[in-house]
Amino acid sequence: MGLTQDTTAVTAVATAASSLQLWGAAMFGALIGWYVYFINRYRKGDVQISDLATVLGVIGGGAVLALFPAKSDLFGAYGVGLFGGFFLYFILLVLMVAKSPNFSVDWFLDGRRRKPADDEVVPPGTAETVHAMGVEPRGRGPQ
Amino acid sequence: MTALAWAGSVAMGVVWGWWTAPQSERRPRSLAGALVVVAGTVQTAQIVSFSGYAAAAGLVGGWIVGFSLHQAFRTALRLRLRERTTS
Repeated sequence: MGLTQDTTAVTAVATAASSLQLWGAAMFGALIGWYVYFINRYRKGDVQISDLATVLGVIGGGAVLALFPAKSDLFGAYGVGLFGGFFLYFILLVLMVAKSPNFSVDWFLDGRRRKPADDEVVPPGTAETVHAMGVEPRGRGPQ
Repeated sequence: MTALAWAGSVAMGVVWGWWTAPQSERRPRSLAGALVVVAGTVQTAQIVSFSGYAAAAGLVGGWIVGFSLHQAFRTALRLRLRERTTS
Protein backbone atom coordinates (compact mmCIF):
# COMPACT_ATOMS: atom_id res chain seq x y z
CA MET A 1 0.00 0.00 0.00
CA GLY A 2 2.74 2.40 1.06
CA LEU A 3 4.84 1.43 -1.92
CA THR A 4 1.94 2.12 -4.24
CA GLN A 5 1.43 5.52 -2.70
CA ASP A 6 5.15 6.28 -2.99
CA THR A 7 5.19 5.20 -6.61
CA THR A 8 2.17 7.33 -7.33
CA ALA A 9 3.75 10.31 -5.63
CA VAL A 10 6.98 9.87 -7.58
CA THR A 11 5.09 9.61 -10.83
CA ALA A 12 3.11 12.72 -9.99
CA VAL A 13 6.28 14.66 -9.16
CA ALA A 14 8.08 13.38 -12.25
CA THR A 15 5.30 14.45 -14.54
CA ALA A 16 4.52 17.70 -12.74
CA ALA A 17 8.06 19.07 -12.49
CA SER A 18 8.41 22.19 -14.60
CA SER A 19 11.60 23.43 -16.18
CA LEU A 20 11.95 26.01 -13.45
CA GLN A 21 11.71 23.30 -10.80
CA LEU A 22 14.25 21.16 -12.58
CA TRP A 23 16.67 24.07 -12.90
CA GLY A 24 16.08 24.91 -9.26
CA ALA A 25 16.91 21.37 -8.18
CA ALA A 26 20.00 21.37 -10.40
CA MET A 27 21.22 24.70 -9.03
CA PHE A 28 20.59 23.53 -5.48
CA GLY A 29 22.63 20.42 -6.25
CA ALA A 30 25.39 22.56 -7.77
CA LEU A 31 25.56 24.63 -4.60
CA ILE A 32 25.82 21.50 -2.46
CA GLY A 33 28.41 19.97 -4.81
CA TRP A 34 30.56 23.09 -4.69
CA TYR A 35 30.40 23.04 -0.91
CA VAL A 36 31.22 19.33 -0.72
CA TYR A 37 34.48 19.98 -2.61
CA PHE A 38 35.15 23.03 -0.47
CA ILE A 39 34.72 21.06 2.75
CA ASN A 40 36.92 18.26 1.51
CA ARG A 41 39.63 20.72 0.50
CA TYR A 42 39.75 22.45 3.87
CA ARG A 43 39.17 19.39 6.01
CA LYS A 44 41.46 18.74 8.97
CA GLY A 45 42.88 15.30 9.44
CA ASP A 46 41.94 11.95 8.05
CA VAL A 47 38.51 10.86 7.07
CA GLN A 48 36.31 9.40 9.76
CA ILE A 49 33.21 7.26 9.59
CA SER A 50 31.21 10.31 10.66
CA ASP A 51 32.55 12.21 7.62
CA LEU A 52 31.26 9.50 5.35
CA ALA A 53 27.86 9.63 6.99
CA THR A 54 27.81 13.42 6.63
CA VAL A 55 28.63 13.37 2.95
CA LEU A 56 26.21 10.55 2.29
CA GLY A 57 23.53 12.50 4.06
CA VAL A 58 24.27 15.50 1.89
CA ILE A 59 24.31 13.73 -1.44
CA GLY A 60 21.49 11.30 -0.92
CA GLY A 61 20.13 11.48 2.58
CA GLY A 62 16.63 11.73 3.90
CA ALA A 63 16.42 15.51 3.73
CA VAL A 64 17.36 15.50 0.06
CA LEU A 65 14.97 12.68 -0.72
CA ALA A 66 12.22 14.57 1.08
CA LEU A 67 12.82 17.51 -1.25
CA PHE A 68 13.43 15.46 -4.37
CA PRO A 69 11.72 12.06 -4.35
CA ALA A 70 13.80 9.13 -5.55
CA LYS A 71 13.26 8.07 -9.16
CA SER A 72 11.92 11.50 -10.02
CA ASP A 73 13.37 13.95 -12.51
CA LEU A 74 13.89 16.40 -9.67
CA PHE A 75 16.22 13.93 -7.97
CA GLY A 76 18.04 13.41 -11.28
CA ALA A 77 18.44 17.13 -11.79
CA TYR A 78 19.77 17.46 -8.26
CA GLY A 79 22.35 14.72 -8.94
CA VAL A 80 23.47 16.30 -12.19
CA GLY A 81 23.73 19.67 -10.44
CA LEU A 82 25.76 18.09 -7.65
CA PHE A 83 28.16 16.74 -10.25
CA GLY A 84 28.34 20.13 -11.95
CA GLY A 85 29.08 22.09 -8.79
CA PHE A 86 31.62 19.61 -7.49
CA PHE A 87 33.65 19.44 -10.67
CA LEU A 88 33.22 23.12 -11.51
CA TYR A 89 35.11 23.83 -8.30
CA PHE A 90 37.83 21.39 -9.33
CA ILE A 91 38.09 22.76 -12.89
CA LEU A 92 38.30 26.35 -11.67
CA LEU A 93 40.98 25.25 -9.21
CA VAL A 94 42.97 23.67 -12.04
CA LEU A 95 42.59 26.79 -14.19
CA MET A 96 43.67 29.13 -11.39
CA VAL A 97 46.66 26.96 -10.50
CA ALA A 98 47.63 26.85 -14.18
CA LYS A 99 47.32 30.60 -14.51
CA SER A 100 49.12 31.55 -11.31
CA PRO A 101 52.91 31.94 -11.48
CA ASN A 102 53.13 30.89 -7.84
CA PHE A 103 51.80 27.37 -8.26
CA SER A 104 52.28 24.37 -10.50
CA VAL A 105 50.12 21.29 -10.78
CA ASP A 106 52.41 19.66 -8.23
CA TRP A 107 50.45 21.68 -5.70
CA PHE A 108 47.75 19.04 -6.06
CA LEU A 109 50.20 16.41 -4.86
CA ASP A 110 51.86 17.96 -1.85
CA GLY A 111 50.83 21.59 -1.65
CA ARG A 112 54.17 22.99 -2.86
CA ARG A 113 54.29 26.62 -4.01
CA ARG A 114 56.74 29.44 -4.50
CA LYS A 115 57.82 31.42 -1.50
CA PRO A 116 56.11 34.80 -1.18
CA ALA A 117 58.13 37.72 -2.45
CA ASP A 118 59.84 40.05 -0.01
CA ASP A 119 56.89 42.41 0.01
CA GLU A 120 54.27 39.66 0.34
CA VAL A 121 53.01 37.80 3.36
CA VAL A 122 50.65 34.93 4.04
CA PRO A 123 49.20 35.40 7.53
CA PRO A 124 49.39 32.23 9.62
CA GLY A 125 46.22 30.19 9.51
CA THR A 126 45.00 31.71 6.26
CA ALA A 127 43.09 29.24 4.11
CA GLU A 128 45.19 26.24 5.08
CA THR A 129 44.36 23.33 2.83
CA VAL A 130 45.23 19.69 2.93
CA HIS A 131 46.57 17.91 -0.11
CA ALA A 132 44.39 15.15 -1.33
CA MET A 133 46.91 13.05 -3.18
CA GLY A 134 50.47 12.76 -1.88
CA VAL A 135 53.67 12.53 -3.88
CA GLU A 136 54.12 8.81 -3.34
CA PRO A 137 51.62 6.05 -2.72
CA ARG A 138 50.82 5.49 0.93
CA GLY A 139 53.60 4.10 3.06
CA ARG A 140 56.30 5.12 0.59
CA GLY A 141 56.65 8.79 1.24
CA PRO A 142 55.20 11.84 2.92
CA GLN A 143 51.46 12.26 2.69
CA MET B 1 12.78 5.59 -13.96
CA THR B 2 13.49 8.43 -16.33
CA ALA B 3 16.77 9.01 -18.13
CA LEU B 4 17.37 12.17 -16.14
CA ALA B 5 16.86 10.38 -12.82
CA TRP B 6 19.28 7.67 -13.91
CA ALA B 7 21.82 10.25 -15.08
CA GLY B 8 21.51 11.88 -11.69
CA SER B 9 22.37 8.60 -9.98
CA VAL B 10 25.43 8.17 -12.18
CA ALA B 11 26.51 11.76 -11.58
CA MET B 12 26.21 11.36 -7.83
CA GLY B 13 28.22 8.16 -8.08
CA VAL B 14 31.02 9.98 -9.89
CA VAL B 15 31.16 12.63 -7.16
CA TRP B 16 31.15 9.93 -4.50
CA GLY B 17 33.94 8.00 -6.25
CA TRP B 18 36.12 11.06 -6.69
CA TRP B 19 35.58 11.96 -3.04
CA THR B 20 36.40 8.43 -1.89
CA ALA B 21 39.65 8.03 -3.83
CA PRO B 22 41.92 10.34 -1.80
CA GLN B 23 40.36 9.16 1.44
CA SER B 24 41.23 5.58 0.63
CA GLU B 25 44.84 6.58 0.03
CA ARG B 26 45.18 8.59 3.20
CA ARG B 27 44.26 5.74 5.45
CA PRO B 28 46.80 3.06 6.26
CA ARG B 29 46.61 -0.05 4.17
CA SER B 30 44.47 -1.99 6.57
CA LEU B 31 41.20 -3.78 6.91
CA ALA B 32 39.74 -0.68 8.57
CA GLY B 33 40.53 1.42 5.51
CA ALA B 34 38.87 -1.06 3.21
CA LEU B 35 35.87 -1.27 5.50
CA VAL B 36 35.41 2.47 5.38
CA VAL B 37 35.14 2.38 1.61
CA VAL B 38 32.95 -0.70 1.55
CA ALA B 39 30.67 0.55 4.30
CA GLY B 40 30.24 3.86 2.55
CA THR B 41 29.44 2.22 -0.72
CA VAL B 42 26.95 -0.16 0.86
CA GLN B 43 25.34 2.68 2.76
CA THR B 44 25.02 4.65 -0.44
CA ALA B 45 23.46 1.68 -2.15
CA GLN B 46 21.02 1.36 0.73
CA ILE B 47 20.03 4.99 0.41
CA VAL B 48 19.07 4.55 -3.19
CA SER B 49 17.99 0.93 -2.94
CA PHE B 50 14.35 1.83 -3.11
CA SER B 51 15.07 3.53 -6.40
CA GLY B 52 15.68 0.13 -7.92
CA TYR B 53 18.55 -1.75 -9.46
CA ALA B 54 18.98 0.74 -12.29
CA ALA B 55 19.73 3.57 -9.89
CA ALA B 56 22.02 1.38 -7.80
CA ALA B 57 23.88 0.23 -10.90
CA GLY B 58 24.21 3.81 -12.09
CA LEU B 59 25.56 4.89 -8.71
CA VAL B 60 28.09 2.07 -8.52
CA GLY B 61 29.12 2.62 -12.15
CA GLY B 62 29.54 6.31 -11.46
CA TRP B 63 31.58 5.49 -8.36
CA ILE B 64 33.96 3.39 -10.44
CA VAL B 65 34.30 6.17 -13.01
CA GLY B 66 34.91 8.85 -10.38
CA PHE B 67 37.39 6.73 -8.45
CA SER B 68 39.25 5.81 -11.65
CA LEU B 69 39.36 9.39 -12.90
CA HIS B 70 40.88 10.56 -9.65
CA GLN B 71 43.45 7.78 -9.65
CA ALA B 72 44.37 8.55 -13.27
CA PHE B 73 44.74 12.24 -12.50
CA ARG B 74 46.94 11.54 -9.50
CA THR B 75 49.06 9.01 -11.37
CA ALA B 76 49.62 11.46 -14.22
CA LEU B 77 50.78 14.13 -11.78
CA ARG B 78 53.12 11.71 -10.04
CA LEU B 79 54.65 10.51 -13.29
CA ARG B 80 55.12 14.09 -14.41
CA LEU B 81 56.85 14.99 -11.16
CA ARG B 82 59.00 11.86 -11.24
CA GLU B 83 60.15 12.48 -14.78
CA ARG B 84 61.02 16.05 -13.95
CA THR B 85 62.98 15.20 -10.81
CA THR B 86 64.92 12.33 -12.41
CA SER B 87 65.84 14.13 -15.62
